[in-house]
Amino acid sequence: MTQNIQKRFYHAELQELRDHLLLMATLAIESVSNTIQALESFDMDTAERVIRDDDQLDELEIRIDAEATRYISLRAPVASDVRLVMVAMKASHELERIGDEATGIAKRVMRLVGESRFGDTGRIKEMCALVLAQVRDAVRCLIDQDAPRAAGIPMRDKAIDEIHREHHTLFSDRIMGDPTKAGSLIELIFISKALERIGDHATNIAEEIVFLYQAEDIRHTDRVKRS
Amino acid sequence: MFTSSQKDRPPGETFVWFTAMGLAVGLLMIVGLLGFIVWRGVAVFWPKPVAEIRLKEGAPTFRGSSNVVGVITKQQAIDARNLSPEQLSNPDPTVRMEKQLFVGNRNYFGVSYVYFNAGDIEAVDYPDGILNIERMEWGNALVYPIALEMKDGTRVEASDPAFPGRFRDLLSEVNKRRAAITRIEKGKIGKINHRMRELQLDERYLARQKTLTATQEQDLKRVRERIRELQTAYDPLAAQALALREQQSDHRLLFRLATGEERSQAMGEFVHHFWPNRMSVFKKIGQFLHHVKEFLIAYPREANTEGGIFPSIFGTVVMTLLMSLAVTPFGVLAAIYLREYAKQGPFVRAVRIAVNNLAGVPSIVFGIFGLGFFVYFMGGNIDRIFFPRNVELGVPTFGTGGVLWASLTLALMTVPVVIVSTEEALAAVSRGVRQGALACGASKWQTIQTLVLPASAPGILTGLILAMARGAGEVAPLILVGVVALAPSLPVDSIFPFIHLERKFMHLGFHIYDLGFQSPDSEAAMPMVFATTLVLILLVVVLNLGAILIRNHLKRKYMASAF
Amino acid sequence: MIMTAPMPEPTAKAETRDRVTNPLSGVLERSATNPNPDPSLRMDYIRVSNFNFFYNQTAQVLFDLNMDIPERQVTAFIGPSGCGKSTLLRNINRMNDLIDGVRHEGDIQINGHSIYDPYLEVISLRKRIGMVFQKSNPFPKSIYENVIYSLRVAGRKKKSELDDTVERSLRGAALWGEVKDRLHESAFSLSGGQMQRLCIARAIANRPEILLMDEPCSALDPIATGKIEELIHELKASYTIVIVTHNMQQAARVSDRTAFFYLGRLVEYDETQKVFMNPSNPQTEAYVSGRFG
Repeated sequence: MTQNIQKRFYHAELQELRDHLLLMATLAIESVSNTIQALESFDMDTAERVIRDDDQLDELEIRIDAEATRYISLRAPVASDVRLVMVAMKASHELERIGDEATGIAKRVMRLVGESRFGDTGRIKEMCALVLAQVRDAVRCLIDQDAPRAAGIPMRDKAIDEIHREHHTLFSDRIMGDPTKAGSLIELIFISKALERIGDHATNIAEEIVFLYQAEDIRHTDRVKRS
Repeated sequence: MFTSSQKDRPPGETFVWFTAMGLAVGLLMIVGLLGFIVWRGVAVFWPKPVAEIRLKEGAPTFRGSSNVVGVITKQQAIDARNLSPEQLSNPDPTVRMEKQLFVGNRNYFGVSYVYFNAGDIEAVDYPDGILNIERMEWGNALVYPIALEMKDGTRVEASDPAFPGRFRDLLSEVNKRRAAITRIEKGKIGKINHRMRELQLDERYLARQKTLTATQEQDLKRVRERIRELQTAYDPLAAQALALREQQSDHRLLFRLATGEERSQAMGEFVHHFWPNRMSVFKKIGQFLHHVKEFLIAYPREANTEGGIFPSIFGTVVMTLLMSLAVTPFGVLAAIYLREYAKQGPFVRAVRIAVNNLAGVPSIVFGIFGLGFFVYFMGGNIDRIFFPRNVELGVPTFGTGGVLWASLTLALMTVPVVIVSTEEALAAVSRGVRQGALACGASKWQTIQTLVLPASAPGILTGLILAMARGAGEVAPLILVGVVALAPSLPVDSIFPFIHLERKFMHLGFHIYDLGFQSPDSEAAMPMVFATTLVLILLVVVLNLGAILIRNHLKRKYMASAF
Repeated sequence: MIMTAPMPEPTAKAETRDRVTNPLSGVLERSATNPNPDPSLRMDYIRVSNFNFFYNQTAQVLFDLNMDIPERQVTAFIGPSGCGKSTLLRNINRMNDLIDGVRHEGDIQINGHSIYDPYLEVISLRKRIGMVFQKSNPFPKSIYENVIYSLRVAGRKKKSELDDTVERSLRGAALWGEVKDRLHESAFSLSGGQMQRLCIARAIANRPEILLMDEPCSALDPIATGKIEELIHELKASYTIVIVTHNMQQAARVSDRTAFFYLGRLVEYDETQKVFMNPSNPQTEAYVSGRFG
């Protein structure tokens, strides 16, 4: 079925919006990856870099919101165009929150650097790998326009939530066993929480992706109900 | 930066000048033509002074007299071929001029206009004792009144200061009596004559039959009785008229011609008078208006060279109206069918071409067609079916020219104009209006009747105006189908059925032709020709103005069409 | 027969209580996007079945159309120029019959009766359908005469009936206030938007069941367009409206169902919000996003 699909002059604005969103996603992945690396190797420089780079994510969120609002006002988009604009606005918020959580982890790492190594960090390492993989996956689905795969992400988030619940119990018990280590253990709980939040944000992004490409709103349905 | 050069002038400016010149030339021609006709036509009615000319000793006399009285009508150079060598060599230029004089008194002098060599004129005078009398016969009399001779023998001398008043009173009495005579003769007696004619035709018809049936015998008896009755009714009226006529000769005017002869004439033969050399400007204007009025509402005399042209005006108006009545429905309905209903194909195109070409056919061809088809074929058949008695007697009613056939012939001639302009007007109504009407549930005819026709009315009227203008001016076809130089009666009168479509009628255009080329004295007729031409033009203008006013009213009401 | 005692009305009381204590009660039950269409209305009020249409006997312009247009809703026909939407619209009241050489196959039924029934008089069909054209076409008559034209051609003469119709129709077209003092002035003394509303008043004067509108606002400024869209929104309570428009936003604003035509075929026909939020056909998607046409 051939038709003369013409690009209008303003469709470039839509492409630019999409590019900015993908840029923001890439930066968010980098942020998470770096902060995990800083956490695992107690690298001050990397942690500082994460904190610095968060500004970019904030700027991008503002920029994407402004472009999206402008596009709605001036171009009256419909169908997939309007979904893209709405997803851009919402996903940029999620990505910005991911950035904030990563920054939070970096700051806690810097606070912990003076302390001795934790010894047993529970399943933090495992959690980091899962979270990073989840965020990467979500962004991959965004780039590849792979809605079915994105629909499977919310289920995987359950594992991450499970680990955090374990950490909560584990570290709370350890604090009761050795109150002197309370400071760093509390930091660890917060770090676990932050990782779990990153997972949630990635899940939200996955749900947005399903809406964008399948026009289906899967939020709060049984498919994605977390505990 | 903004200075203009030759190159900047908008191209084609010179052509604008050409178009303006073309328009100016056209306007000049129209104004010139109308002005000429108006000038010559109006001048006819203005009362002119009457001169008395004394000829030189030795110059050729006029009827043995060296005194001539008349209106100086023309002054021109004598044709060089008619000049004698002495006249040519004479240093005085007046010997090569001649004056034309209207001497009137045609019954005494035999001619109306006489030429005099200007060199033969001794003196020109304008005595105020001259009287200009308009007469029933023989035109105007230019005379010196001597006295009024009354029936009882008394005289009123011309020198008597009461003379002008007395003369005027007697004349108005005579005119009133004449009107009474006309009322009796044309009115009452006319009705009787009409019925009598019919009965006589019946009688002749029945009398010609070889054998009569019983009913026919009865009819014949009854007809003869009716004739006798009418005769008895006729006699007293005739006697009345006769008595009045005799009264017209009660008083006589004694007068002297310029040549010195004395004559007298009965007052009853006079129609109007004025003292040409005694009148102030007001009086002259009064005379002028009187002449105009008489010209328009009086009947003609003297083979159309005297009197008024009322029957011609009436005939022209009646014929034009009948023509319009005939052409409008026929043309409009044909145009509606062509434009709205007919399937547009080669046949309809051919019809349209034929209609357009019909407009170019010479009008005399229509006259011949009208003669052959309307007069002989249709008229003959109508006579055969409805008036067998007249056919038997050889008296054609519709089988000869008449106002009906003339109107129909001209209607046929002007129908292409109406069809074309109606079609244009119909086409100018926008499709949107038609579609809107149909979408409202109107049928095609309802759309035409309620929307298309009213919106086209201005255009249709334009066509009618053009048709009337063309029809009122055509003369050639009319000669063949019903116009005569002098008609015995008007096509519309008080005798049932009031409109007589079979009667012949008079027409202004034909009147002009008849006057200009058929009258015995063309010089005398020339003023009438111009005056009649002026009236014809004014009549057409008035008819057109009427139609234009109606059209403007309709345009304001319906303002949708391009016309 | 058992007489039952009249049911008490606790629900009403509960509602009253709720309304007093909770001003937001019922907010979720009511919805602007779904004003509860009467389920008794026919969804196939106008039914187009296997409809093919030809100009000059052979040039086909509509290909195998099948659609059901529901009663008392606004259905929009959209599509690029020359896609056949106006042609289909004009077939519903058989205005295309006026063109020489047209031919159709298939059927169009209104309320179960075929409009091509040989015993059906076309004029009576057109009396039940009102039409508004792209270029407003008021008749060269007074405003009063314009509105009651359909009554006049139907032969109705009673002055009281005509006067009532004029007022009702002009009120229905949101024009009464502006012209009530000059009903007998020429229709051409109105502005462009007013003339179009006059044409709408004329179309509804005879209380038709269906209102067909062929790009009614394309010649009007935004304010006049807005008034007419407002009018369409009110009119749909009483009339089945089919509107052809090439203004997508207008279709999105006023219609309940939208049909997208392309090259004489019906590409997609669905609820308007489906067509504009998530069309099934990628051609439709491309068209409504403005990527072609």
